[in-house]
Amino acid sequence: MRRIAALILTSGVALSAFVLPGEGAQQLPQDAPAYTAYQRNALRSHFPDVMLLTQDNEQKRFYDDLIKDKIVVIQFMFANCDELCPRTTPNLARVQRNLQQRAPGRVNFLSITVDPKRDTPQALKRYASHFDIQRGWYFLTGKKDDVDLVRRKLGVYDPEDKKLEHMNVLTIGNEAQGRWLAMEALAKPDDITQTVLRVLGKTVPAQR
Amino acid sequence: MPTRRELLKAGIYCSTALLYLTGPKMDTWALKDGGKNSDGGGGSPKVTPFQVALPVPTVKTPVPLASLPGAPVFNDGHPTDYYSSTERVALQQVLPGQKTLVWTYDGTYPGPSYAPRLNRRIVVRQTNHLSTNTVVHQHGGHTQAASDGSAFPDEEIPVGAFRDYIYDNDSDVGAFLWYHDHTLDFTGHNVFMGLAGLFIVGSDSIDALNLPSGAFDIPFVFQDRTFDANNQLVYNPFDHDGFIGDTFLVNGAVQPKLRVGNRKYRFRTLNGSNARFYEISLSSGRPFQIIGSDGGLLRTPFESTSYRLAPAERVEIVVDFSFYAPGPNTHVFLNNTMIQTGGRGPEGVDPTQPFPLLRFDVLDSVTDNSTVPAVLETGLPTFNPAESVITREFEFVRSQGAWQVNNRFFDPNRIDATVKLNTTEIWRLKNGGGGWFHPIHIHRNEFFILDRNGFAPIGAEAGLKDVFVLNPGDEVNVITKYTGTKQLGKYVFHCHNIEHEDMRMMGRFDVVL
Repeated sequence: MRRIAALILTSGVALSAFVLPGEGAQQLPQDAPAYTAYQRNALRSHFPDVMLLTQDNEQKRFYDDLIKDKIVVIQFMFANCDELCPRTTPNLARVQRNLQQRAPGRVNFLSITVDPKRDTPQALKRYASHFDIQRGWYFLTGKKDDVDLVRRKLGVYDPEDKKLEHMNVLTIGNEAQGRWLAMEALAKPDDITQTVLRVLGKTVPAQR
Repeated sequence: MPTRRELLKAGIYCSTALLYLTGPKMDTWALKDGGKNSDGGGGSPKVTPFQVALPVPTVKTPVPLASLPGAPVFNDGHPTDYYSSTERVALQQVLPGQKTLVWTYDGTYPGPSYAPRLNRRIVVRQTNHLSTNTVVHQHGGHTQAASDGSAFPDEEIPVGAFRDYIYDNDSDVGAFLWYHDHTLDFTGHNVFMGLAGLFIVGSDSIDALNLPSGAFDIPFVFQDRTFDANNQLVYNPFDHDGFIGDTFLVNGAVQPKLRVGNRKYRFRTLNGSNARFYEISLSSGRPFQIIGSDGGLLRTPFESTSYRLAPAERVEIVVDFSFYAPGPNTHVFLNNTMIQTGGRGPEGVDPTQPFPLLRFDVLDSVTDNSTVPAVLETGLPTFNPAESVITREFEFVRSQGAWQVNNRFFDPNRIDATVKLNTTEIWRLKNGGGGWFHPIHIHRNEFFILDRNGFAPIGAEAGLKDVFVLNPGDEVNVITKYTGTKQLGKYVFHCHNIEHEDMRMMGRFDVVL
């Protein structure tokens, strides 16, 4: 009576290359590395390649220039925020300093304004100057529709457009590995640092 | 009895109804974005239901200690069985056509079952051949801290390495438990991809009850999934509300069929879904016996025509098919009548929209010597509220687009409660509002519910529990005694809507001398 069938797997199955709509030739996943590539490709639609402007008035494409092949910590903020952002940005600055020791040059920080009308590149430059910001940290503005699209695709958009909603959430990811998570922006800098290192693929040493 | 065509229509009708019933509500963007991703909006390939036989996970057999170099050896007189398992990807025939890549324990989704005896220790060596670090949690076990799999990053199994998990199985009673991934921040993805299996602790006293056993004792793992156009599972890590899929699986098969005889069967049902709730009933409307809860058999069985199953909850039932005349056209369906379109929680039961999870084909005429005794488990512990040394309050709340416990996110290095060994405690679990449902799971111990919003627990909730649903506005008091000198150290409690858990709706408690 006991049915065990259907769980028995055959090995050595030949798989033909598949073509995904609009994605070009893509091998179906058949082992762990291929799964990683497949997952990465599947998540591609979450990174609209909209044009954003940095605090130095440089044009950056969200996917091609800021996300692709990168390890990123994404924060949403606005310069006039007087509640959470004044605490989250210095918190992240400490994380950036930690990471420069543990994984130098590996991690980019993206602070994207949710108030792009007021937060011009100049306003963001002024805002960034209040903090001890190292290389690899971009304060980004753009068209409101584009910024909102990015927020929606990353799952941190509030339908009622309350600015503070989701403002406490960091999106941390390793694009090449297809590994993404969200965590608290006000967590302890060591906790965030450790999390970024785990996303990088580093093992956390045992501690009690 | 409905024909297959009618049922197919019903199936399609039901999925349409699920979408149709989606009223305007917050956060529905996740259902619309993302194309073919796993956020419930893509539309999985349609499957004709009841084409495949229900798979039943194989039961693991022990390996010689000598085959596990470096495994722990015990000299305390208690016998130990050793097992070896490999976490690895596999290709499994889930849908017709292209196989699906799944993450597995030992090559199958769900993983193989462990079926140790009460008070007989087992050691499971889990070797990680996946592409990321993992943690294996024994859900519902009275487990030593280092083997509990409590989401601590320093307890992860690195890629290519192994960890020996020690399970003492020294709870008070045998129980229908499970094991699944518990990697901090990534549990939703890892369980979605397939990392879950059953852990069934048996005992002589349960065997003596003469409940349906052997081939008539079958587990059902209910899970929902969404597949892309290539039959692949693609997890959406940007849906933080809770994953809701559009395809229903039992034991890794889409809407399978199970051939049964006209006799009693014991079904052990687990909701292994990330965020979906179920309301389970039979298409015939006939009642069945509810005999067990999360932590073991009930003291006494009771009759019911349906029950709710929240994520991670278990309910054991006995269904008697002797009421049906065996024959090729005798079909009974195991239905889900819970409507749920988003991670916020279930939207209500609609008995007019049953969705068949599984079809029983009542074909065989057989004899049945099994019984459901009036008294089942006599070994249940008692916890005395008068002995409670503390009442701890934990409020599970949505804040700034994420989920917290007592206004804090999980920090693996912060102790949120320190529990003294051999003390009794009452934990008051409160829903912080916003209309969200939170199924709260506490590791290490089984509990009794003292009251739910001031009322004594009813139904399977009167049994031993380790998952407590907080409906909107709920306050639930639960009690346990923290016994077990081996079980010292750090544990967690958390929301078992796994996407909420991954956003750190979790706390740490340490049990100390």
